[in-house]
Amino acid sequence: MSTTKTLTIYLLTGPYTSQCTDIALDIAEKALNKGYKANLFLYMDAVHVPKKGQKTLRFPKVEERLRKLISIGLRVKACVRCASARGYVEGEQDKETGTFPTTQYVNGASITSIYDFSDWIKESDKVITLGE
Amino acid sequence: MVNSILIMITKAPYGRENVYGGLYTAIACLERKLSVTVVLVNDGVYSAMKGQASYKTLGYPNIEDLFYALFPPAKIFVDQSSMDERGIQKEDLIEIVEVIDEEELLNRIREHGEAIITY
Amino acid sequence: MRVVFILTKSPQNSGNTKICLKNALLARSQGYDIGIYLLGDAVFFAKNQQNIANDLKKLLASGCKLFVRKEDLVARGLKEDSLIPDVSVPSDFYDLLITDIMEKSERVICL
Repeated sequence: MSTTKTLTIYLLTGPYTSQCTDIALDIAEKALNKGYKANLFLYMDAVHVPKKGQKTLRFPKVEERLRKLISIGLRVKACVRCASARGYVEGEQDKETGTFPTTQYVNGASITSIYDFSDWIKESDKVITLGE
Repeated sequence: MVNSILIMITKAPYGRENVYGGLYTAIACLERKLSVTVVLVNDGVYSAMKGQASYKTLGYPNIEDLFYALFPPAKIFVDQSSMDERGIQKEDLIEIVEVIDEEELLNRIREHGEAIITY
Repeated sequence: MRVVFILTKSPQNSGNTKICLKNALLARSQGYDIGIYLLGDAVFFAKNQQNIANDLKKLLASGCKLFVRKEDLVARGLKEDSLIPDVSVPSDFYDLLITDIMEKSERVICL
């Protein structure tokens, strides 16, 4: 019995400041379309990626793309230390889910501890890093 | 599934968040019983300099202390050629690091790099 | 062992260039199977007649494969005939990349 392989993408850079964010979403989309599981862990300025209300005139809309990818199975988590520093964490950790509350993220993206990243690493077949 | 992680740090300490990112991730991975190897290359070799006093002058956590929190069981390696380019001697660095050449770096990648994370 | 490098930064501005070139050449000399994927600003690696072109040609001559993302070349006005000979510009770069990292390679280094 074969199990589906998992790719974890670790992103270090925020939306619009670097093409790496779009590259991360490109790779996630291709992996999902090829039938792999895909995780996206957001670190440092990448915690801005799931922020709601992004408006761009000329650039591909990161928020919209992220929503679509979440709807086809992309799991998205952001590091609490980085998210908290940038003003996204709005309360205490939920003991059941382990996530930290925010009203500022698109549905399906959550704020969790870096230990979740370690767990994802352990479960993955491959891990790639993108960003500055 | 991944059992070992190699964290490659290429940036200098304090000017950017990258070194913190690498070392906090290393600590979390140790907690989850992954084997952790840290390799400092390019400007990353600066982060192992001894005598750092970042809290005193910048109010930032001290990266030197983070290395000591990792070792052991994590192993910390520093690339010789990166040190040479930057005029850094072994005695400039914290004593818990091991200096390696490029062949040994490749060996570390082969033996411990099931996941390689670059900062 | 197959090792894949994924590069996204321009060659002249990035200290990571040296890490990649040195490691890839050394690994090839030790019998590793090497693939290098160039995307984003890293497509400039593949441009001919720059000071790293000789290192790239050595890598190619040693059996490394270099893959360049077409969309990033086009965006940057880099014509395929200005590239180092023998680099590959696949029709579906990401398909090749994902298959390589998920099914073929044992080590993936992102720089």
